[in-house]
Amino acid sequence: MRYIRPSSLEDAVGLLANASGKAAILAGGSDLLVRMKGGFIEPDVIIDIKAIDALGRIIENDDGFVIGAAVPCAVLGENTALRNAWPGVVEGARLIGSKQVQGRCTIVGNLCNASPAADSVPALVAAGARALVRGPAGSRTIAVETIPVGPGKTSLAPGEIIEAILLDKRQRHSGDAYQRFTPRTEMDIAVVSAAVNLTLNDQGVVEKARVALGAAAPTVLLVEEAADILVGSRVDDGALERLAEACSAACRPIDDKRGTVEFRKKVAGVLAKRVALTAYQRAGQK
Amino acid sequence: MLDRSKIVGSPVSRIDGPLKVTGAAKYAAEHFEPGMLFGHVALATIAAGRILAIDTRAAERLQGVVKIYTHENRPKAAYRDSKWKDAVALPGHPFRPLENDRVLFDGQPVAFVVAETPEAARDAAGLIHVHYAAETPNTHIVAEQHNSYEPPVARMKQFLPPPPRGDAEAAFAAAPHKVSADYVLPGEHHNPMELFAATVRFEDEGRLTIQDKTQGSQNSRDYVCGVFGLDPDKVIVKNDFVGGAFGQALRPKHHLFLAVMASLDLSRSMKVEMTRREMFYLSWRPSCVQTVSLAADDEGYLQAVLHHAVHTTSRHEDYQENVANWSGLAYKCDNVKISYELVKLDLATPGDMRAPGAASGVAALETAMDELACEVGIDPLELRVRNFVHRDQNQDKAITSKALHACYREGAERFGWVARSPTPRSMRDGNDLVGWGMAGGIWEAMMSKGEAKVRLSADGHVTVSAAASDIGTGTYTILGQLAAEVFDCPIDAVTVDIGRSNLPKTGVEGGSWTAATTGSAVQAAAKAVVKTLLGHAQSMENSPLAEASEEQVEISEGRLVLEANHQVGTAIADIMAAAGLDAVEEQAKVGPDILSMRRYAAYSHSAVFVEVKIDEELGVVRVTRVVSAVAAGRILNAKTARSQILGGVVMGIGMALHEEGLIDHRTGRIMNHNLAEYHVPAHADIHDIDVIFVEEQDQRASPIGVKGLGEIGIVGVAAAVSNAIFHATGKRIRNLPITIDKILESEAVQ
Repeated sequence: MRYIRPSSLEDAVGLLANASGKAAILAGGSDLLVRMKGGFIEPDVIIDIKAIDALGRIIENDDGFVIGAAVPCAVLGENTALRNAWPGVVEGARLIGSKQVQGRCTIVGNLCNASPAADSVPALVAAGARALVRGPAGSRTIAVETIPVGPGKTSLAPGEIIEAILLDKRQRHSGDAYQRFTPRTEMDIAVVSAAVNLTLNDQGVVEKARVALGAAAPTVLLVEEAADILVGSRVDDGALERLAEACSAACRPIDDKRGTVEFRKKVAGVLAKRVALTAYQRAGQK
Repeated sequence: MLDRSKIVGSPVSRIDGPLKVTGAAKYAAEHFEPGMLFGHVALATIAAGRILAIDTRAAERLQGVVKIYTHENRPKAAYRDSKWKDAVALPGHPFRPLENDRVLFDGQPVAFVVAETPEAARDAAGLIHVHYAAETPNTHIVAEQHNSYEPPVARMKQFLPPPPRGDAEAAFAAAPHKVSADYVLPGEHHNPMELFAATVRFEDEGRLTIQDKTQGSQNSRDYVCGVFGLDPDKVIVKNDFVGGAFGQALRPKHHLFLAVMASLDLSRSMKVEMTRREMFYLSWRPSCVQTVSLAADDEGYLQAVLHHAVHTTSRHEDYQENVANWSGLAYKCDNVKISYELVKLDLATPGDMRAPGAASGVAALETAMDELACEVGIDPLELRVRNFVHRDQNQDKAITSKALHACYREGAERFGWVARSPTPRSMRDGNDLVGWGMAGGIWEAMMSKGEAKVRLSADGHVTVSAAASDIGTGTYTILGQLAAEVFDCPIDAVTVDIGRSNLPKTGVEGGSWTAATTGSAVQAAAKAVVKTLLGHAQSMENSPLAEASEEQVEISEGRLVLEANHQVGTAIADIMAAAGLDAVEEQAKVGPDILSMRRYAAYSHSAVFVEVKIDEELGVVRVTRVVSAVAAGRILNAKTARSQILGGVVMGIGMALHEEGLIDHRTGRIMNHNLAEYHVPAHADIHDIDVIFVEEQDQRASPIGVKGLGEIGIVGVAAAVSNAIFHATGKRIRNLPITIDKILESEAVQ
């Protein structure tokens, strides 16, 4: 097994593209090292991207935010501008594992690990976040929801690496929120999770909405029919009930130790209502 | 003398705290020896059957591998079971690692790799292929409970059920109010921070110095010497620091056997540290099925108590704990029938886990008491008050002390119990249902035989030594406090030397008896030092203490003085100088007072009050408030004592809501053998816990008046949580842990 710590993204892409055998990218390592220790994977090459300066920064520009692939989740929470603009995204990132884990783990790692229960992904999907992907054929920008294609599987081509997550500049009267359900209050895996991102008009009516559910299907679900229910509403009780029904109906969960299909469907609806209300309150304050 | 209480009782911070927080305190696996080898265990992947063949070829080829042991090449060890029995062994046949081809439980060691590095040993263990003839395992206690039996040999006499009194069945049938239900507890698994580990230093002339994770260094030494036929004078076992043990490290485990075996075989120093996974296969709280039937008259006075308990044991040993007897002594009742049986399953031998027996049995009893309170229609606290008894009816003995009324009163007041609305589902906080529940706790206040040595130097420095262990409970600190009290010195003038097998004899640390035992021994030895000093003082010319008796003197500010008049006395330095001594040293031996024990039984007691808030849409339970009021005699250190109770409460919350060993009964294998899947409460699950120690004087339980605190904190907590959940939801869930699915699926009583 080789461990390489390149100092530029070009080198990382080159190493990844030319690696013989199985290659793995190491950022926080909170999934990779655990899987290696458990004997589930044994990479031939490990490419540690933490020494690439550009990947370790959060940049705010005219278009919004660029979050480098090696930025630990804890750092997201310390960025006041990001927290104010995208509180739901930050909420998701700061629910992963423990404080110690958050000091290492990254949202890009969470995305590429492609767990349906990934905590940071639903809020990114609801936020309409995009991933800046660099590969042997150059760069491309794609919606985050197109990256995981099933548990543990991504749509990234061989040699491709996510350089950063892009979040739009926040519009007025916008807000997002994320909640997950876990039996234990922390250090637990989401049974179901929900994220809602709303933009209101000056009258407080929802103009744009995106609703995402986690752990409810093989990949994080973007539930457009649920978003359609919120658009045109003031997130009143009637809209919330229909939202919950739409979310429950959209779920395609599994039965496991953490919850049954029936329970997950119910909880998806309950959480969607709760996060929609929080997102609405946050949007109204801006 | 001790009533001065300048130091004893006060919240002294742990004297070993700075070593622990700076990393200077070394645990068993943190010791290194030049040229040492490392061991790693390969575990069975079936729960019952035989090993047909073990292919170690690939493992042996791995660089760094020194030797691989299996049952086919294991060096000889003792033949007789008696040599394998440690001080707390069980009836039956002790487990012998790599003894033969028989697999008795999932996770049993089937091979042991010794290598130059821990990594090589671990990798090689993964390359060992074992071919089994697997048999169909039985691991389900509920399915197998009809195969239960009364243990033919008692582990301890007090674990046997008391003789029946009155006619419980007839009284139950005739009573106007009755409840009867089954309570099911899953197996629980120990997960102390520190993993089992042993570092063996192989020395000249066959001497071994072993750093072991154990609750008794002398127990480990005697085990090793028995099994390998070693001279006890040539083996020293140390356990200076223990990172939590809770009963799991009472008995020596296979890491110790394997480390010593390889060390002797290869004449090299050795280290073996278990993995977290291996911790799940050893000394676990047994799964348990209980039937509790209670009957009362219209005023709630108990008319009948019937408690039948069945718990798991292994194929090869009869593990026993006191599950059900508490039901015969917690409350006044003249018609009692208690029965206790075991069921053999294809699982590792269970073992003691914090308040073994009581944690399980009192959980059932105290839930049943709550059910009875509802049935009779009186407040659950009032039901308990009405049935208070100041006698151990099981043994027909008086009780040394029982300040349980104070626990009820002070606990209820602190909690605000009077504001409880009796009807289930009648209290809310916003969208949350609120439930208030309570339960009582009880644990035996024990003392064992123990010795300690105390040395007072002319410069005033004190050294206390005993082979006692500090398993995180604060033993170092309380022994230091007790000595500082006698010698009227600051605690930093006391060196506490414990955790070594070649120190004065001490039993294993467990059962909440260490403070009572070693604490009393330290006090006795310190008093013996004072007596010796007095003798030397009285040999001095014109001694002002010439007429004084040992009861009349004490030490104050470096002088031996008359208790009644501190002006009269002699400096310790002068006494020693006159006697030509650098120090005075005395050893003392203590033990339970046999005469007193014939007449009295001693218990610690508690009352636990719990508030839960339940998000009804999701079924999520949060334990938002706990008040634990404890009567445990004299409190030696307010801070470490509180910590003991806090830890017990947290563990009780885990028992109520989270902890459950999940077994795939088709294969007999434990599925959640890691901390990601075996849940204990996380920090965010724990809210306010308030600990009250009520005043309780007891000079019979132990010479220093303590009853012990290691266990009482957990007893009753699971029932109090369960009762609070019932109060919040109207749902009575009798199989722990009370997970969300059980809350959502069960029906509320009307």
